[in-house]
Amino acid sequence: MSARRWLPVLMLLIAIPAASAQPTPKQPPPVAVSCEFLEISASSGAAPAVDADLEKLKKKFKKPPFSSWNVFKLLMKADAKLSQKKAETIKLKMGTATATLLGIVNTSNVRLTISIDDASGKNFVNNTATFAGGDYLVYGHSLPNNEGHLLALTCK
Amino acid sequence: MAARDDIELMQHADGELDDRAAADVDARLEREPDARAKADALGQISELVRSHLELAADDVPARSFDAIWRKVDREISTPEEDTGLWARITGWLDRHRGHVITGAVSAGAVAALALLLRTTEEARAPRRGAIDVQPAALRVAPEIESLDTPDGEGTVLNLEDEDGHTTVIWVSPADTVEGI
Repeated sequence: MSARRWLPVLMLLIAIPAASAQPTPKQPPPVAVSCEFLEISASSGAAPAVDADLEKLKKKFKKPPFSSWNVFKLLMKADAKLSQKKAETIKLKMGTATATLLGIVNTSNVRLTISIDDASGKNFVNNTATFAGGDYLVYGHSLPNNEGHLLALTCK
Repeated sequence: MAARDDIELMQHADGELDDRAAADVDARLEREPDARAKADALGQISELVRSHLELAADDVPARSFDAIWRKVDREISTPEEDTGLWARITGWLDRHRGHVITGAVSAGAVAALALLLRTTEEARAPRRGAIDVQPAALRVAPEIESLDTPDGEGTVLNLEDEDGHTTVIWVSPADTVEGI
């Protein structure tokens, strides 16, 4: 075979493996999700009122167990980036929430644990749940003055 | 016939005729004044051309002739047996320059194509560090794996509408539950 034929072939044999070689394995980026925490007070008033920031939850507030109140106010809003297996503490107006991302399931669901303490520092709920990105988890409990205290969170 | 005679006159002036033909032309020149005039004119023209060529040759720098002669000598002389590895490599590349360029261009094209395809594959790879928010209709219902309410009772409700699922975890004080 003349050089005219084998030289380009040789160069191709060198170029193809070189170009298609797998890049040096990089450290995969840490698994993390962005979550939004909304602390809400629920009460009963003469006129219904829902804060504009709670527009996405407005329809839900018309259903039990929220329907016993008609005034919903945003107490605090926090955006937190949750990293896998790293507890993130969110300071609430009335208490503290601690969220830990356990993982991402099927690329569209978040698995995490939530622990919430009330204003007196007493833990009242610990939960592990898997839910879809864009959906809401709402934790709530009644307060002594017939008001409600809610913590809603959604992740993306 | 005149044209043929003129050609013979030119061949005679250039010394290209054999002896017999040259003798015929000489005899003709003796007896034809017109032919003699033409022969004289031919001689003058030849001299003129020769002088012009000599002048043109004088205009060529001597070093150009030297370079030409060196090239001629190099090409007709026997190549040296061993001129070194580098000289052999460069000589080989000189002789196969076209093939080398063809191979390099082909290899470059393949490498570029492979890199392009690999980049596309990487772009298609699922992103880590974020989740895909699917349309509400495609989302699966939330799953509560564990629920602990130290001083009360937990109730789980799922509110589903066109916006997706909303999972409510309502904690009621233990004494209230007992009251119910």
